[in-house]
Amino acid sequence: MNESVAREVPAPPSEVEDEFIETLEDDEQNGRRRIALELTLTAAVIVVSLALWSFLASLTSPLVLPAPGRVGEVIVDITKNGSVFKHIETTTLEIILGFILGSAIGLGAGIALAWSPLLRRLASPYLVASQAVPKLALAPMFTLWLGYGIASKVVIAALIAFFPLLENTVVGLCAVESEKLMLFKSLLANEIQTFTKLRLPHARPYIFAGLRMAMLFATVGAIVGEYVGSDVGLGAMIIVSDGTMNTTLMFAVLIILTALGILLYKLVQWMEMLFQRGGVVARLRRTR
Amino acid sequence: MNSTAAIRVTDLYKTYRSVAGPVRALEGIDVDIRPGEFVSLIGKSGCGKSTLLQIIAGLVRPSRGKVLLEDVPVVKASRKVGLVFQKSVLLEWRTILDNVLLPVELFHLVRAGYVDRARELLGMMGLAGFENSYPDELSGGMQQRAAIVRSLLCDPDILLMDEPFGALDALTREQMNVELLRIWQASGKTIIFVTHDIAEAVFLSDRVILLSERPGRVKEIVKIELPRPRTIETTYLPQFADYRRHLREQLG
Repeated sequence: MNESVAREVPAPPSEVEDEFIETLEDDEQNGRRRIALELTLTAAVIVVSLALWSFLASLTSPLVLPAPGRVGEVIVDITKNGSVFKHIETTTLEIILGFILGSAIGLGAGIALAWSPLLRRLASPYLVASQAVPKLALAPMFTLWLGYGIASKVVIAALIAFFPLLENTVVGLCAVESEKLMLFKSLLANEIQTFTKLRLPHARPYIFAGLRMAMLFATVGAIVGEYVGSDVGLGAMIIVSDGTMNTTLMFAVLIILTALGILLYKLVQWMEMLFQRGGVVARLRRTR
Repeated sequence: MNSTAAIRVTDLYKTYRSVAGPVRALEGIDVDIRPGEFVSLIGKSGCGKSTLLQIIAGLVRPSRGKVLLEDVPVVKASRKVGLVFQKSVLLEWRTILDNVLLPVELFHLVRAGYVDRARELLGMMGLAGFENSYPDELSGGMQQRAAIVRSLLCDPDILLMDEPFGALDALTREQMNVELLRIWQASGKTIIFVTHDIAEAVFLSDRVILLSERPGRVKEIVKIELPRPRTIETTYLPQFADYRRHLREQLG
């Protein structure tokens, strides 16, 4: 087996060749057909859901289930008069800051725990305890301590965001195959080299999976923080719309919130693409 | 005993602690290997041949006895020694070129000084054009060649190979053996080659060291006096069959 050596292969009979090309074309056609089918199905699911929603809405009061058309109108209204933007801004800021704070703690603690088995043994009961406490139940306490501003929301968001990242970081850093560790040992690698050139790149997919979870959790944390006490933010809007029986507004805010959540999740995915092998970061490093 | 041995193993013992009590892996190993010699270690699985190799590489401490590399006692891994494992152990997030250059980075050498040599060695091993591929885009044989290039890059005097072709199919393995001999002859390196394949050991080696079952002791050292350079034709010689039969019988 020598892949680099070109071997002389007798030309196949032309019929066979034609058939081969046809198969390739068929594959391409199948691919296109599959994509078309997927798009059609996606559109169909949306149409059917909206139809079902409309139908159910027609059966009940708009206080219970507003019609999708009405919700759409409200979204357009609050966007046009600009009243929603300060709420979106505040909530986004809380989520992002909570995500950054939680990720920094999760990553830092994860690295520390992966580094020292002793620390891991000492800290793990407290970590488990910190997760066993229903953290969202702590939200009123943080509001009491930190007030009604964004600080309390950031802390709550960070508190529930850090743990999945911490766990993933520890697993990713520790799950390196023993053969690779032996290779590094045989190449006289020191601790820092083993960390930066072996453990960290190995942990990268684990860390990004943790970051995606952290972003979703930070969103939950920020909203719950706003529920407990705030007059600005999408969570506060939901509480206000609930208090004024404005169910249509509540649905509009929920839809905006969902869109925001998806966008932030995609942001982390996009960040991951930068760090993927063959990605921008890898290419920059190679040209260096 | 001649004082210019490339590798000298004296009175080496290794006992592992395990839950079921101590396991004696190696017992009283004495071996001298000349510079430029090709020596194979064979024995049944669990006879301690990999352990012996790891002790020589400075990765595992012996319980007793010592190893000298060019008269210097082994206390830890050394740049003089290149290692090839059964698996290629390439880093999947690095390109082949970056994988091959890993030792340069870890030894704090200047990368630019080794890129040309890396490309040349990759070319010699039939990997030209795959420098920017990732390991999972290569076949098992090609991955193992990349691992060999990595071990050769910083020009170690000694190459320790732990069943490097064990995971390859028979034809690939045969070809790799021929290529390995070519590299060995061109470079004059000392090679210790662990295998459980008798034919492979006979084909490659100047001497074959046969280890007994656990605890591993040197049962016999067989000098292989087949003409070099060896090719596939060598394997059809009657002496080749004789060596194989003898070693097979000794292996039990």
